[in-house]
Amino acid sequence: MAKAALTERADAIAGRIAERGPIAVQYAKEAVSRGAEMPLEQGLRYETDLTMILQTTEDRAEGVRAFLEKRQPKFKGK
Amino acid sequence: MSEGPVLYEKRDGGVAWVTLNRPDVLNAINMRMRDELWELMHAVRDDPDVRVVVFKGAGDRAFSAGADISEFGTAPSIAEARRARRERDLWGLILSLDEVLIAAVHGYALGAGVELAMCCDIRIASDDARFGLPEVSLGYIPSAGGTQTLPRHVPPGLAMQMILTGDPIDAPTAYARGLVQRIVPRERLYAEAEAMAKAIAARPAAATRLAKRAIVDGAELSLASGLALESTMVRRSLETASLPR
Repeated sequence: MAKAALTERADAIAGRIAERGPIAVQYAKEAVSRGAEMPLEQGLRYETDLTMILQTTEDRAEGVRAFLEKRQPKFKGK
Repeated sequence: MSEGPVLYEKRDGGVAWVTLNRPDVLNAINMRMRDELWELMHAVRDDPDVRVVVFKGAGDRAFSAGADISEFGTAPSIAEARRARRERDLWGLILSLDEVLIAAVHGYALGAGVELAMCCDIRIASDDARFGLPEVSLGYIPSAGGTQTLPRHVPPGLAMQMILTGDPIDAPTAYARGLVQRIVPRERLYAEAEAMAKAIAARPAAATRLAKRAIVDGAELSLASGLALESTMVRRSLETASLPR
C-alpha cells in the first residue's frame, strides 16, 4: 500500500469504529482479547454475559430502533 | 419451498442437509428457527445414520443475514433472557456434536449467520459470499460465539477489524485468510459440498469421530497434552477398526 493510501485507509477504519456504539466496541474488544486467553467454553460464557449487560444500555435500544426505522443510529455511550 | 423455517433432508451415504428456510427475510434466525434447530441438532446427535451435516440457506441472496432483529427486546427481563440462553445453548450444542458439520455459504453470512457457519468444521463458499459481524453498528456485540470463534479461524488482527468496524469481507478475502476452505462458482456450491460430505461420510465412522475430537479438544490443550490425547484416540481407533461396523 502506498504511504498516502495507508493514512487514508487507517483513517477510514478508525472512522468506522468511531461511528459504532462506543460501549459495544469496548465490550467487543474485551470479549475478543480476554476470550483469547480462555478455553472456548469459558469465552462463550463471557461473551454471553457481556451481551446481557449490553441489553441494559440505551445505545443498544437506539441501535435496534434505528435499524428497524432504517436510519443511522445516534449513540451516546450510555 | 414454503414449509417451516428449517428443512431437513437425510440423503444416502450418511449425509444430511439442513436448510435455513426464511428466504423472504434473508434467512434471519428467529426464535422459531432456533427452537427447530435445537430439536433437530438433538435428533442429528442421536441418529447413528447421520455422519455429516451440510448447512445452507434457501433463496438467492443469503446463507443467513443473522438474528431476526424484529424479535429483539421481547424477553420479559435480562435475567430471563440469560436463563433461556443458558438452558437452550444452541451454539454450544452445535459445537459439541461429533458429526462433521459443513457450511455451504452463498450471499450474505452476517451476524448469527456467519457465527453458525463458524460453529461448523468446514466452510465452502460461493464467490458471491460476504462475511460480517455488524453487531457493533447496532450497539451490541456478536452473541452466538463470534467474538470467540472468529479469532480461532482468522488472525486476531482481522478478527478485531471485522468485529470492531462491523464491515464485511468478501469471499476471496475470507478464503485467503482461512475463514473458508474452498471457493467455488455459485452453480457448483451444493454439488461440491455434497461431494465433500460424501467423501467424509465414506470414511470409517469411528476414525472420523475420534479425529474430530482430537482436533477440537486438542485445540484447548498444551501441545504435550494434545499429543497425549491423539495417542489415546489412535489406540481407540485401532480397537474399533477390528470391530464390525
